[in-house]
Amino acid sequence: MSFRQWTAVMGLAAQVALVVWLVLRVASGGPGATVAEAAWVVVVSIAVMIVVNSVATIAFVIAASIAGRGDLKDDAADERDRGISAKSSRNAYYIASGGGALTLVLLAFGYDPVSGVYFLFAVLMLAAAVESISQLVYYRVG
Amino acid sequence: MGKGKPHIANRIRVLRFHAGEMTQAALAERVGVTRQTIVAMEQGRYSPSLEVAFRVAAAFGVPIEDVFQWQGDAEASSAESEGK
Repeated sequence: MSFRQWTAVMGLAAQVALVVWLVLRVASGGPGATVAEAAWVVVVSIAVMIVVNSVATIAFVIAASIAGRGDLKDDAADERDRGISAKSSRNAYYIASGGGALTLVLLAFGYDPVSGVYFLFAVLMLAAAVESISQLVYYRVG
Repeated sequence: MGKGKPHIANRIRVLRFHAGEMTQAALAERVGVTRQTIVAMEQGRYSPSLEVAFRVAAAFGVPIEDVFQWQGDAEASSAESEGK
């Protein structure tokens, strides 16, 4: 697998780990009695994910360098990379826009706003996961 | 890139062999794409843009039709004859 495929795998792992962690916290009645508290939990979670992803990517590059795997270095994106990125982002956009609209509909029908915040976060994580999975699939099939 | 089986065949692997076993990395460097893209082209999983196709041909010093061949019509006609 190339550097970009490994990056997609690491991103997917981080997204799954974050969703599992948040589901466990919410299920245990942890955070978020108010909308503001729930939103803060989500914002901090996203920040943590960005940091974890960045650290994991840097660690991967260093490990690949030490192992002498020159084929795993981050080459400049070419037309195929840009095409795959565009198609993957399109797929993620469908999920994010549909989920955002669904969240608004749920809120309009009186759904609990705190749960709505978590639902929106789950939708965004799902969109990010779809983007990562799409990249892996498109790199595999062409 | 496209849906289904690609209709463009290529002779990149053969041309690399005739170019003194040019490596995929060396070809990628000349063409200005990643090695993974050369691999995908060789395996028929990716059909490049016209510009990259010309760059590949230029890297081997041959006309573009010596590298890439359109197979769409042949497949379509064979499918039609099988259907009759």
